[in-house]
Amino acid sequence: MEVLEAGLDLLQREGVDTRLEVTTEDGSRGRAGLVTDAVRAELGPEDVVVACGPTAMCRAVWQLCRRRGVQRAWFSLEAVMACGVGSCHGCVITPVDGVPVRVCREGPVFTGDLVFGREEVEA
Amino acid sequence: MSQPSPSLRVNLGPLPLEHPLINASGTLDLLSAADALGDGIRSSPPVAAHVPKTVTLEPRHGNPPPRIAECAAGMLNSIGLPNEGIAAFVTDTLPRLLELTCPLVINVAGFSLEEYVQVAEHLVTALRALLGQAEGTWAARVERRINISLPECSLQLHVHRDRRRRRPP
Repeated sequence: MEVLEAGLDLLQREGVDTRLEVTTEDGSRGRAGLVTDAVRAELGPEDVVVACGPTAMCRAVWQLCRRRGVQRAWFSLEAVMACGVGSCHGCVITPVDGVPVRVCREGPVFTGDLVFGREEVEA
Repeated sequence: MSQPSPSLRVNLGPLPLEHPLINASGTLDLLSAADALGDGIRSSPPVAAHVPKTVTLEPRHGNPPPRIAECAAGMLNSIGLPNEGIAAFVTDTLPRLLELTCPLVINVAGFSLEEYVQVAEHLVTALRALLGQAEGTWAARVERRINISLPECSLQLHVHRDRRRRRPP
């Protein structure tokens, strides 16, 4: 948490308006629920989204972005890695074009378009 | 590099090695590793011979993820032989691999006996062209070995390059 707050201080010094909101699924810290619940109310088309965490969470965030018309979203993906230097090809994801890419080398940050595509989502 | 004392030299079949450590195929890609870790790993490889990832006749994406799982004994992986295919391998990758300072053990695979033969012939032809131009007599140093210890009968080509003979006259 201290690291997060230090990061937010840095952003604020750069003139970025920040607010830290913590969610946990079981409510043991911050608000109870998913991260998508926390941002659902205020996400709009002009927003820029940067998300980091499990792929399922990132996919849910991207689907929310699509519903809200968010165009700019980046995802730092988690993957089990054996080597971390591009040798073993263990950490690949399969983007929408079907050609596997290594999270450790081509990533770990990808656009939502590339990883999750632009399939229709329910409004 | 001076020879350590006592000598760790061993012979792996027809391949004389400076020491007994080589990588298992697929676990180390010196070219990719050099991009990430710096050129030292390429100019002074930590292995006595380099075994690149398996090459097949056609390009392969490999298995869909997840490819790695932890287990009590360590980890299991099922990568699925992703590779660029023999045609791209011999034009794009093989010349760079031949610049390494250690011998190569090139690992080829097929899904039928005919594919094994095709990919091996393609490789031998390319090696003769590349090494013939560079060294004159290297084609004679290509050793072939059929490994029948694996169920799918992998066939490996051993390319021995003697660094002492690579110095310009």
